[in-house]
Amino acid sequence: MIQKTILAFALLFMGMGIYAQEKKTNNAPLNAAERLLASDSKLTIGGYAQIDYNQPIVEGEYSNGKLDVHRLVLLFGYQFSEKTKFLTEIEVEHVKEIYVEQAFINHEVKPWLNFRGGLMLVPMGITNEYHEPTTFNGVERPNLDSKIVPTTWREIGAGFTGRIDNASLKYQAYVMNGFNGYNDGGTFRGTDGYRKGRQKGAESFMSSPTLATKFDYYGIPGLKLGLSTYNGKSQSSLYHGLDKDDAAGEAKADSSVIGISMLGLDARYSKGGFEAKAQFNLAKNSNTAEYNELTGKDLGSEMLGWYVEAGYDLLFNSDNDQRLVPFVRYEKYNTHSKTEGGLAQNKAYDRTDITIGAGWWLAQGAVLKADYQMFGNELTDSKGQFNLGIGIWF
Amino acid sequence: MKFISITLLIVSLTLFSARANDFYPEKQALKAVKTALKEKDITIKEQVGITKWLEKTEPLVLYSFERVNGETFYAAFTHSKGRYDYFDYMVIINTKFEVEKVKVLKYRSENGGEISSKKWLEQFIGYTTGYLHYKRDISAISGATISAMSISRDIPKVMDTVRANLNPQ
Repeated sequence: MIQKTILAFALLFMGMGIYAQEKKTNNAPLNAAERLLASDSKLTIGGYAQIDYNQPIVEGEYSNGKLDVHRLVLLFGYQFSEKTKFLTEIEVEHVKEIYVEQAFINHEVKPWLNFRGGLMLVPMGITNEYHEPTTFNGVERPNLDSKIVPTTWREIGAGFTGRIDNASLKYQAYVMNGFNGYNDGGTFRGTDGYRKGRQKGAESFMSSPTLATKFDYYGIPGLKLGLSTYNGKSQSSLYHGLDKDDAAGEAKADSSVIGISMLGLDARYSKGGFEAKAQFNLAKNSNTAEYNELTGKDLGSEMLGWYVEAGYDLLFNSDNDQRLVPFVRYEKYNTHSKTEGGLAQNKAYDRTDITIGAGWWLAQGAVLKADYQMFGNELTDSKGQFNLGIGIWF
Repeated sequence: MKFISITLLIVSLTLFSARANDFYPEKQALKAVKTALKEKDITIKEQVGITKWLEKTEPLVLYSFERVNGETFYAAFTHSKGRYDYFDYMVIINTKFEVEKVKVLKYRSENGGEISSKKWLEQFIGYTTGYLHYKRDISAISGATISAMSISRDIPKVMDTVRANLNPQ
């Protein structure tokens, strides 16, 4: 009897502990895993998902809609000590393709100096780093962040990051592996630039490293400004095993790489219920004439694009976490803004997209989305697409 | 069976009470206050209380301090939760129960550290009481939404708790 009573008290106290943990956050409810793991736990579990319905609308044609669990990402973090942490995101794309989206270690020397190494997101623009579906308007990410900035763009690298609180400044600087531009054939192309060259940390190879930096400034109320740069050469398999005295082989290998200099400027602004975003990217590619000649590809020597987006939270004055945000996004991006070596500019790559829609955030981490997109270019008639989406992040 | 039960009881009781006691002890608190205010001649008067927030189990450690000129002020040390991790911060409060300064002492997550910005935290200076509406009273900060909402909602609760502790009437 006594044993049972003691056991009951023990369980009661443990239950109280768990109950106490449950009430601990005043705004964000604890999820099941967090509740079990409790605040002192070193393990973090989270995730996000994006479930989409895309219905193309083409005049005079029947079109099937596409329903897709576009992304389901599971996040795990482990805090080895107050200073050292590991974080990984395991992504399942389209239900069946598994990727590791991030896997890096972070060691804090000081808040303004952290060492970070592993598979990391390239800090370029807004969406590549903040790509969880509850953080952006529209069912799909901006197309600029697909055709010029190849989100989700990640490679293996190492470097430093930190915050300077007195200056409201955050910086990131990483030496990273570059795109695979040539591996038994060229991967870059005119329509979407580097997208097919992403190595994603999967048995990636390197012939020369690249440098990615980003600075964020948030010292003006409601405004965040970003400046990103990416510089380096693409990687080529032709260098591997090449005799250093083989001039012809070296010349061919040299033709298989391009030099990339990308600049990103971004701004996010919020005041009251009004919110706006803008991003500009300019990518200059050198050696594209030789690259295109060797590979038969049509990569542009310059890619340029930007978008502006504005929305208004109609539930801004409500006292709960719900948000209802109608928005409009205007994108203009050209992956052939310049070409070289006799390559004619393809006007179909000079695109203008307009997205109009709304998102209803049922809670901070759950959103229902609906929008209509018009995809236009300078060569052919524009096309439309209706989208519905569910986004979650916990 | 008995042994296991007693062990479980002791472990759970210890876990339940241990956290607040080692949360920002005197020496660490004094150093944090001196650094934040950039003043050397401050002495710690007393630990006014180790408490839990109203309706919460969060640690809140409150000290009173004294300047050379005899002026007294308080500092509350507590934490709030971002998306995945807790962050520690300090609220310095004068005898009129106005916020003099807020400083984030430890931010643990990869994202959301923007709330540690000195400029952004200046918005809380002069706050006394009442609900703070994120985005209306406190400007939004992109990339740190959860942490910013969390601290904006918690500072009023911290102030209420401090006021109740120091001035029960």
